[in-house]
Amino acid sequence: MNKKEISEEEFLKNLKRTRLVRKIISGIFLLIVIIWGVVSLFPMYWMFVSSFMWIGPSFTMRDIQWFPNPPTLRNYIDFFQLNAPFWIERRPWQRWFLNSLLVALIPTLSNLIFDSMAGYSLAKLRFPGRNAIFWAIIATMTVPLFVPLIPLYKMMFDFHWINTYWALLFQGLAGVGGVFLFKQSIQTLPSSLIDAARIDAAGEFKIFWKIVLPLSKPILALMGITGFVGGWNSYFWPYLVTNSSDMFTIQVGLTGMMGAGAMGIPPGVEAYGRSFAGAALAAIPVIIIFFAFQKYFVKGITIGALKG
Amino acid sequence: MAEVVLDKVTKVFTTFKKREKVNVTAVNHLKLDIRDGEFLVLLGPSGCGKTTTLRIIAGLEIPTEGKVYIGNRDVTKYPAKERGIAMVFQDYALYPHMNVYENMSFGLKNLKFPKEEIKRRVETAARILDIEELFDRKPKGLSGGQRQRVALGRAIVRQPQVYLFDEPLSNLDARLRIQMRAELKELHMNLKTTSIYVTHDQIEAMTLGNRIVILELGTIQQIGTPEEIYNKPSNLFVANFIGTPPMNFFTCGVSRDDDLKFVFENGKKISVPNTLKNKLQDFMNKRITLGIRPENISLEKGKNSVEASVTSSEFLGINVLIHFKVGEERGTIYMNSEKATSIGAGSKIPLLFDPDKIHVFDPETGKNIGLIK
Amino acid sequence: MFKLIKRNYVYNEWFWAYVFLAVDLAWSTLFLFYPMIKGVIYSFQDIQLQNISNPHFIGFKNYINVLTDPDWWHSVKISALYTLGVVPMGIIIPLTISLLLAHFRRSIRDFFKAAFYLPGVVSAVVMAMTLKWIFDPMAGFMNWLFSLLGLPTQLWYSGTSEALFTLILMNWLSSHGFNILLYSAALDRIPKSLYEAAEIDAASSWRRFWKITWPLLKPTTLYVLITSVIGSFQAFGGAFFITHGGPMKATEFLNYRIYVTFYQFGQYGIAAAMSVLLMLMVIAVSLLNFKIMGSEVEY
Ligand SMILES: Nc1ncnc2c1ncn2[C@@H]1O[C@H](COP(=O)(O)OP(=O)(O)O)[C@@H](O)[C@H]1O
Ligand SMILES: [Mg+2]
Repeated sequence: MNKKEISEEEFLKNLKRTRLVRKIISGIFLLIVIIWGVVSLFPMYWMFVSSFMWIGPSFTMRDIQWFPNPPTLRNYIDFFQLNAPFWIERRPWQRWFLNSLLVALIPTLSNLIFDSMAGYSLAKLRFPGRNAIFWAIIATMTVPLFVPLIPLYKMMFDFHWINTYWALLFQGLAGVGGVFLFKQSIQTLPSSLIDAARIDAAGEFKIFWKIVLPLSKPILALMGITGFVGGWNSYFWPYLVTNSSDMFTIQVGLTGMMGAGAMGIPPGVEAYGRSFAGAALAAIPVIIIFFAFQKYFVKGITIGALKG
Repeated sequence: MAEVVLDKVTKVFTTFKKREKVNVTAVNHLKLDIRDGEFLVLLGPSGCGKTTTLRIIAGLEIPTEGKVYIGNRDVTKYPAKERGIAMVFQDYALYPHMNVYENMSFGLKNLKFPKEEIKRRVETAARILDIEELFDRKPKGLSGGQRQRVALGRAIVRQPQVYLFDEPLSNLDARLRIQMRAELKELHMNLKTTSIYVTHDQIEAMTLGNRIVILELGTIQQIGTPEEIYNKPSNLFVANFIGTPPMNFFTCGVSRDDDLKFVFENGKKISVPNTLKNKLQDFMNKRITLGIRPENISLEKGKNSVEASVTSSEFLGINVLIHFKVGEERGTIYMNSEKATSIGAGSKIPLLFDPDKIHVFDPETGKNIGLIK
Repeated sequence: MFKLIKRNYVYNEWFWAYVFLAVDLAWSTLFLFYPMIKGVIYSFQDIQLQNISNPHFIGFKNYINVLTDPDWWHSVKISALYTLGVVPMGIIIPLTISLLLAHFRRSIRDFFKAAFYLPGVVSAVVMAMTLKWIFDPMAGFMNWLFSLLGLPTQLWYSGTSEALFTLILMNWLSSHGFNILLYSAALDRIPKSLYEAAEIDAASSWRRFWKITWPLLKPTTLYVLITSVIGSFQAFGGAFFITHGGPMKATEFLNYRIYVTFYQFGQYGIAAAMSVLLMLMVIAVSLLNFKIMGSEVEY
């Protein structure tokens, strides 16, 4: 009797101790995660901070502060060239943002339509050559960029498309890039819906338009959002096929401002300030989109990479 | 209203397993005459080709060989919409993004019916099915039974020549299933439209069907009324498949001493019923499979009774199911529980088979010897 | 022809299947498949910007040129070293973080997942620019931090021996958001009952990890491994934005080399041969990965 009481007490003590240990472990875990979160987010913080920091030609380590004191808008004024003397050629930043918007919107929208159609075809229709086409699409996903890129670049020359919207937009209006994800997603719709629609005398296009598309809203949203962000952020193709500054996108403009690429001349420290003003402006739209559509980014991952 | 004829319909699916081509014959030379206004049930275990047969009739699948006629028209190459059929799917296949009214009217709209006609038909069907209150709801907001009704409604508004049902009740709970079964039967009696109904549930088949077609491995095992299927199974497969608890089977020899006798494994001999004597001439000194349903055995001692030992018994309310062994062969008896109070595991009981209900099968071909002409 | 399609519903389905595919296939044929084949053809041709109108076949000469060029092999080495440096951390970090995250409530988990993923939506240009600035040897944050901590300042990407490691370090510090989400999703899919069963078996958490979690994460790990090997072997941005392949070719990745050969020197044939060789290497590496990991990724 006595013994049992003691052991009960001990048991409670032990329980308390294990709870404490668990709490400590949990705290350590949280700390690690927070530290890593700070590390991952720091570059973005630093980018924004630097855009409000005056970075002169003689800027050195000693001038660094965690937070600019006082913050200045001078970089933004420099980026927009508000104070530049009149004889200096203006940076067509309005065109850069406009071009970026076009590159982000137009091919994305048209790809949504054509990729969902192709994805539906591969997911639900039966026709000879289906497997061959599907595997051809999969295979292209592993081919390195430059294999088709060199002839494609030359093709743009031959078509006289360099530095035009034909190369920037038209070339990307369709393609097989998004077909795989659409196929994966549409495949999960019950086939009986399509059968039912056939019995309900709907034609094949109507089935796609009235049944499949409305039921594919989540993947359409996901592909639309990631397509927009991808287009907005793309730099290499626009960099290759444009050569006058009014055809640049904002990413190409920034690439030029920081002197990247094989032929670029790296600018001095003082170029960072105005570049970060531009970078912050280029980053804000996608950050807003990210926060607005967070769940699509987080959810979308599982559809594609692995079977959900 | 129309009859449906399947003329030697075959469907072979080609699939790939580990890069090897595999041919699956889902339906094998099916010949079937479905009468006008009939309620025909396709019954068989899962994977026997029922759905494929139905889809071929619907025009969702094209047969590898053979022809399909609906109302004397060869519709083999017609698309579903030109066949005058309507189908109810196992998962109901309601369009999730449309409300009930839109679900029911989608087909008529596609067929370019005038608006008023569509409205009239949908409302009539909804009244029959008692779902008028649900028009504005989406399928997600409906119970299983309500979805089932909407799916039926969508078929009814089409006023088709033939209804096709693919296991429409199998997603409902037991109570609802019984209710819907009765309603389906009533509906058919009112509409008198040819109906083809696929199920793996024999009780559904028995209660609904004017005739039942038993399928196995894509071939027809038997066609007949529920009574015929139950009382005169044409082969071992049907005998085994139909009836719960299933028919008992015993391996017996056939021999003659003073009279023609079945000889059980344990040596016991019982007389062959008169009706079977002629048919069994050819099986003298051979093995046959004797089949007897659990409810056709009584516990009486007589010169034709067989001794068995009880292994267990299950109390099922008014009836009791007694499991026994004759030699090494197991079987069951289904009887009134009041008569079986004293029977417990280990006790010895005499089994008397109702001679009119004894079936004999050729163990090699599986055929019911009693039915061979 | 159209009558036939209308009459026979099987052909009708075929017809529409091809209609639905038509635009995508046409575009890909013109702007992807055809250039791809053309790329392989280029690799057997003497074709360069100076002499663009007169390409002619020269057999394997481009390949021989490339394969006998020590600079090519130098780039192979650089890319391989970068891959070796990047890939293990590319698995360890996301896996660790998502295992730690699994201990917390859903809301906390989602908050951190978003925080880790956020840098991934910012463009490579902006990211590279920022990292370059942070690691600036004269005025960068890192050196400031080092001197605050009393450590010697570093040359980072402008030092011949440090540059490659700096790019590797930049990779460690960024771009794990996607894989953290992948691993977290995979962890979510592991049935709780498996762990409960193991709890009853009094398995230690170490054993639990190796017996349950790790095997069930294998498909995810294989996917991450293959994509990150392929990705880092084709690394490009760091050299393009930050180092220009230097200093002294210290970061001249394969893809950067191809880019320079193609875009700066206009030697299309040689660049095409290089990209075909890169493709062969990528295929070989991914096949090898499949072999080593043994199981298959489920697409
Ligand atoms: N589209 C298909 N592709 C390949 N095999 C199929 C297909 N549809 C059905 N089968 C095969 O045909 C056989 C019959 O299937 P089904 O008609 O669905 O059977 P049931 O409805 O009686 O369960 C099964 O073996 C099934 O695997
Ligand atoms: Mg079925």
